[in-house]
Amino acid sequence: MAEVTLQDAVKKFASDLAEKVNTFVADISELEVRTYTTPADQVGTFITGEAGLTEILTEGKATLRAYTKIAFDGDMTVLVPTGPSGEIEETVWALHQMMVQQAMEHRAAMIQAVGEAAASALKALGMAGGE
Amino acid sequence: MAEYYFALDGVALPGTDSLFGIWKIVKPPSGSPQDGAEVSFAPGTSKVPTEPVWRVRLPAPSDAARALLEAQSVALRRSAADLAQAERRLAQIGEGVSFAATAGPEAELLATLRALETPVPFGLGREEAERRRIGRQWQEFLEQVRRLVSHYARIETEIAGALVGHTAVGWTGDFDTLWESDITPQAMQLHLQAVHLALGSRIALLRLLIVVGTGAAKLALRLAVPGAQLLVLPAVWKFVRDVLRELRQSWPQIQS
Repeated sequence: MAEVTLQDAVKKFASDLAEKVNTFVADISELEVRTYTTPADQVGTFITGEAGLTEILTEGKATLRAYTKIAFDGDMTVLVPTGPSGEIEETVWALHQMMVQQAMEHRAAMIQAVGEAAASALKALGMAGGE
Repeated sequence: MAEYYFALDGVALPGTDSLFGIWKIVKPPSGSPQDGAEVSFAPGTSKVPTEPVWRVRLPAPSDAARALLEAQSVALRRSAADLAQAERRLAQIGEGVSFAATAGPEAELLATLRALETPVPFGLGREEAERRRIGRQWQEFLEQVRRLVSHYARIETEIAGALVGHTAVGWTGDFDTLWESDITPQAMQLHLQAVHLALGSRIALLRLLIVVGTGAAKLALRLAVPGAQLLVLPAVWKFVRDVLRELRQSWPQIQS
């Protein structure tokens, strides 16, 4: 019957979201941002749907150029790209910093949305008679 | 081929061919996502995705390209304002404000609420069939939103026929970005704006779901029919969708 199917759908969604929220709470303790570059003719290799980083690095000839890890206890790891003589590669560094900024803004927005969604999912789970 | 294009590839949002009037919905192909498709790295083509991909195709970096992205950002802000208005209109129904209109989203939702409180034989009548159709669409919508939020958000920007940047954003916000080595500062800015637009849209979709869930919970308090609470969800989702569509008609045209 339609009612049973609807109930199942809502329960599945709410349960999945609850599970996601659990993961989210565990994983938001740190934020990682990686910036890679690749020759122009290799960019398409990254667009493989389910390619993992290993495939990207090998098949796409991508090179990790900058890395930032921000732990929310205040620890921060930053790998800055440098050229052959040790100078900072300004372009890549600027790209990376912009992505870090965007990642932090997105993280804040997600925390807010997920909090609201979790409250809404709990209500839905209650409606659907889930555990 | 269009010179510009904003598409969400790999999802099928029921009852609409665009998300917030910004992203053209490109449904996944029937059968397996990979479906034996040949990979091509020629401009304008990509492998069939197994995860939703937000695709932005722009003309060469220029004022026109920036204006296109800015227009879509404005559209997203308008959608957020429209959603807030839908939420207010929903709250008015929950508070029992009476409506004189005999048509439109409010009238339809009130009619559905009345029908839920009136015992009718199952499987009879056009209204029941319509309710079931909306119920199925709601289920599909839930499934698609689940897919969107539980997978990586992948955003790719193509400028003047060449891919310049691809960003994968995890559920918790980790970013992996691949840039073309010789990217120009202008192209870089365009990809950043594209990422911002896609992630903002994903959050807006989550927000839409919150409005539906919260609105349905409030309306359910008015119903004294056991089990009817669950059936309110599809009706409220349709209400929100119809209000957004109605409000969007007053927008200036920004995308063909």
